[in-house]
Amino acid sequence: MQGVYEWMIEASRWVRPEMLLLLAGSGYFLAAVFVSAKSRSWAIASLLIVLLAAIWLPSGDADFATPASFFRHDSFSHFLRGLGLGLGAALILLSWDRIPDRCAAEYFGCLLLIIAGVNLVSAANDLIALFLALELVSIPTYVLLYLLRADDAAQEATLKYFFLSVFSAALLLYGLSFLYGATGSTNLEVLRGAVRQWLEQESTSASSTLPPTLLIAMIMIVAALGFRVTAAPFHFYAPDVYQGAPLLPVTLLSLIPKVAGFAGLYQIVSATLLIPGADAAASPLAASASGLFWIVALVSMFMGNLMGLWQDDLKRLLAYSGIAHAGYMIVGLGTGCSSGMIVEGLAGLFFYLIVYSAMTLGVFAILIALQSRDRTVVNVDDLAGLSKSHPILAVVMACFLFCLMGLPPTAGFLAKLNLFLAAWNTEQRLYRVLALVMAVNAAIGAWYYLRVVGVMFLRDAVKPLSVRVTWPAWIVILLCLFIVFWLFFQPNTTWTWMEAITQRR
Amino acid sequence: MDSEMQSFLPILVYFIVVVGFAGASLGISHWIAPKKPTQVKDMPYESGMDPIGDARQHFDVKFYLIAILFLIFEIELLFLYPWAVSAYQAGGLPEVFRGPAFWGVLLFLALLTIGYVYEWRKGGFKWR
Amino acid sequence: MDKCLLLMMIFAPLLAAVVVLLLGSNQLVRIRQVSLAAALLSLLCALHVAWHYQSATGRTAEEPFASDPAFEIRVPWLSYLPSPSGAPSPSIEFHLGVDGLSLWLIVLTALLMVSAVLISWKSIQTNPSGYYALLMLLASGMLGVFCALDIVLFYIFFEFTLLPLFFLIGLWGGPQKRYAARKFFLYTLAGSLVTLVGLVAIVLSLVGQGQPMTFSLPELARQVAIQPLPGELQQWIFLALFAGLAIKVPLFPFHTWLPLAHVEAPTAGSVLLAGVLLKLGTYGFLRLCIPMVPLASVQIGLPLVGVLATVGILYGSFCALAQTDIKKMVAYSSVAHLGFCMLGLFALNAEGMSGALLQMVNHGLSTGLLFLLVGMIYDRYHTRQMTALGGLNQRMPILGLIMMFTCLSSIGLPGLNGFVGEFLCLSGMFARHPIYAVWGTLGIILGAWYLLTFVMKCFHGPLKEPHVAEGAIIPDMDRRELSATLPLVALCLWIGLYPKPFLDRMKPEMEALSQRIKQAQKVQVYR
Repeated sequence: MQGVYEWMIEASRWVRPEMLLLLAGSGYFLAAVFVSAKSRSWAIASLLIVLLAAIWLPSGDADFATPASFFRHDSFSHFLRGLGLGLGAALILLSWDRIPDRCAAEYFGCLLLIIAGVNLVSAANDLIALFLALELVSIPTYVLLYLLRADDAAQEATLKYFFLSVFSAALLLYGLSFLYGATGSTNLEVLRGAVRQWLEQESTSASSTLPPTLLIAMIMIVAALGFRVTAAPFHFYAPDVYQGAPLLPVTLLSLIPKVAGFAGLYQIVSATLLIPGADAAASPLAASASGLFWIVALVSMFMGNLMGLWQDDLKRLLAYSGIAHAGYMIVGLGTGCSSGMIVEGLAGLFFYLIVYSAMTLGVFAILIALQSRDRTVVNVDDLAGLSKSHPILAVVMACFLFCLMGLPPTAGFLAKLNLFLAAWNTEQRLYRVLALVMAVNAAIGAWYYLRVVGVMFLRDAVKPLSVRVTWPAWIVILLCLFIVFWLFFQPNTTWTWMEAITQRR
Repeated sequence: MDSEMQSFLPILVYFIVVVGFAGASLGISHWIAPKKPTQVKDMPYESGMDPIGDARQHFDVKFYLIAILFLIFEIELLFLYPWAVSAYQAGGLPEVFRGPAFWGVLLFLALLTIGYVYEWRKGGFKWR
Repeated sequence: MDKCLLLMMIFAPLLAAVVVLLLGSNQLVRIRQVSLAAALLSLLCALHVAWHYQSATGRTAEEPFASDPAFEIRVPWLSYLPSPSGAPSPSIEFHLGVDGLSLWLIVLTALLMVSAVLISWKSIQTNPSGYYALLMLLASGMLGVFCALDIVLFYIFFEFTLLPLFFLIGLWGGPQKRYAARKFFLYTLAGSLVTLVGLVAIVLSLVGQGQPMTFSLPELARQVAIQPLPGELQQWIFLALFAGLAIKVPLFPFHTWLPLAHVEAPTAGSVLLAGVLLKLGTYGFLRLCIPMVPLASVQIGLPLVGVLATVGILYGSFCALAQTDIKKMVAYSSVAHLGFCMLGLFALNAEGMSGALLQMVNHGLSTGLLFLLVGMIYDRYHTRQMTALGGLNQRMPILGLIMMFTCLSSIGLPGLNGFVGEFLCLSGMFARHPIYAVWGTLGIILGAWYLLTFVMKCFHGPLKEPHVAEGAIIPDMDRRELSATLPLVALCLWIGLYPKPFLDRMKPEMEALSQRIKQAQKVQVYR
């Protein structure tokens, strides 16, 4: 046990980007009370910090995991940390000079803390680290929701999110404690080893040796993280919160908790279900979990798409769209519990996650760019005549919406196709039904996305929008557009990468 | 399976003791206490608040703010106390962890100080 | 040169779309020139393909799938993990090629594109750069569907055609354009998503039988020929494919989007919708359903499609008879004519299927012509009501002549193209199931009734035309309009008089398909 310092320094080398973000975030709060600066200055500083963090990010080839360590780094966390930093940078660009100067420091400070939190979720190698990282995402989110606009609607939204989020955190903690109770360790590696041992015993002995507490833990964790990814039936807060809160935090809310939630789910699933060398299909736990995911995916898809049909408020509509997309992604997670697949459901999940991030960010970026003091865009009808006032923006928006529908030639199509293939590949009748359900849902969803397209192109505005889109918003919009098409025309590199990161563990 | 459930036996005992103690103390005090009721004594609260009247009473929000601030800095004690008392005793932390633990606590205090300064400068301690 | 011929054919319009968009709406002349040039280039490529087709394929009638389709291009696109059996990693490919099933549809598409550009010449004044860009995109998509030899690529082009047409109808359409565009889009999208599941099922069920995973259509057909899918699964897959394709065709109860979309679309949109896009459905049956699930095509395809197509023929014809709007009449006649096509397809013998394929081309030509001519009438009078028109022969003798010719070809007068197609379709069906053929034949009589009634009302008798501005002269067809229609007329005559070159080039594929069906039935009996 000599050299604890050396060990800590070695370990901290791997989470250096997150340490930088955390320090900077805390520093912002301290600076906020002494320095007064414009929103733009804080944004530039934050962007530089995120850039530095990205430079410090360890490469994906490097593998770091000592058995007892709190954090680990491999190609999986490399990918998700990169995604987290990218989303963070995009959010900073979108917020550029839209934050009132009085709370700009706090806003960007919270943003940096949230980015650090997302990254740590995928780097965690310990249940406690995982939980703390998830909390590091949610607590600053509460602040952000109420920081920009202090009216009744924002208050209600924040409170709703706060109470339900705290509840889900408690559920998660409870679930994790069951995992700890079953194995006697909070370390994910130890957990994996313990489950493998049980599975080996199970194959030799007749009776089941898996502790039943594992299943209880699984249900709790899926419920808690289902809240983060807005999977039905844990989605009820989403439309109300989205509607009440200002647009910038809603953008964050529709992306960051989803990434964190799926990273967390993957961490747990890979530690308890996908044991290398063991036949996952033989594990009764995997069978139960895939059944659980089946139900959640089914309900999410139908709930999201059917409720989406009735929405007039754009943010509510996007909330329901997010619920439906969470359902699609959970299909990938559920198929991940089967083995011997050619088209990996989990790779499909992360491919979808990239595409989802790009297209949703794109839609929100356009909505943010269109807001102005004298004319807000709240309802679908407010977009009428966009093709006349902002033709290029309207075409770009249509591209994002077609991507959300899953139409070629956008990456949304390939993302859905991969999940179709994965679902059919499981050889389980239930998941084949789910593939059909996905198709039906994609058709239902097309209706409300098409409504937005129709309003933009086929109707004229009573009072046309006259806002100029700022260049930071343009950067984000064009980058998202690039990703949406790049992943359609050149999917191979990314897909191979996704396959590699999910094979690694 | 059985052995695992057996390991939860102390918790069951603990549960019974807790419920039993609470029930017993309520029951016994009800049973042996002298009963000389007056009107004031029969009131639900005795903390200086008049319980008769409109139920909708406004509490100044300042009280809540102070309570929350108090809680935040109170929690800190919860962490510091066991560390201060037992970490460096015989049978406390292993020798190698004692140094890092010290710096860890210092970092914790530094973070708290940031919060403290922030609160102070924002005027959270002013009674307005 | 041969390597990139198909690429040039598909991507010339795409390039033109970009150029047109960059030009902006002010340079109307340039926009038209660029679009026309791209359409002509595509047509040139298509004709080159047709001309050299026989020499490019060295195939024999016995083993038509043993040799590869002509003018093939294969580029891997999205690769999956290698299958456990150790085969090379399967991938979705950018795989193009031409065979007997697609050859004439490609030529038809390229030809109709030129007409579509020419007919829009003057009638489109608002935002022409957007209009022509969308038209060109649509051309790329349609040519892509027929050239695609990868099952996913096929689907991608198939879906992609929805987008430009949605905007073409929605932005340049008639009074009910928004409703029509939305209904068209959602209806066809909903069906085709279910079809996608069917396609996925075909690929992965074959993997489940131990075959190496592939997305290439010829290879899938080969795998199915070696080891057919189990019967029950075939039926499910057939139903999934049917959901999307039947809406696209459209078969009888799924046709409601069609008259609406036709009436509201601008003329070029109607021409392409009727001429090419409906064929995507029938072509899909020919390309996917019959080769991949032959047994289900016999077992449930024949009774289901037979009944629906027959009902569609009669229903469509009666509806056409009742219309006063000319465009709507033509739209309903499409429902009837596609019914013949479907009857021929599901005769499931070489005769019927080659008749169906020929009928697809015929319908594209004659209905395309009808829509072009109706568009010309509309350009002149701004009405399509039969009651408002009469005796137009006196005003426009050439247009009247071509209209008469087109109607006769559409009715199926011997010597014209419609006759050859319908005859083959019905005689094929007669061999398979006479009842459907007999009822179908009734549709030809009804077709003659409504088309000739229309010609009589509008082109013969005393002159009756809506009020036009004083001193305005209603011209007959000019050179632009003639060049849009005459190539189609010539092709109608050629197919009618000498169909052999057309039938020869599709013969090996048709023989192979009917062999496949016979084989599937034999296995069924044997079991």
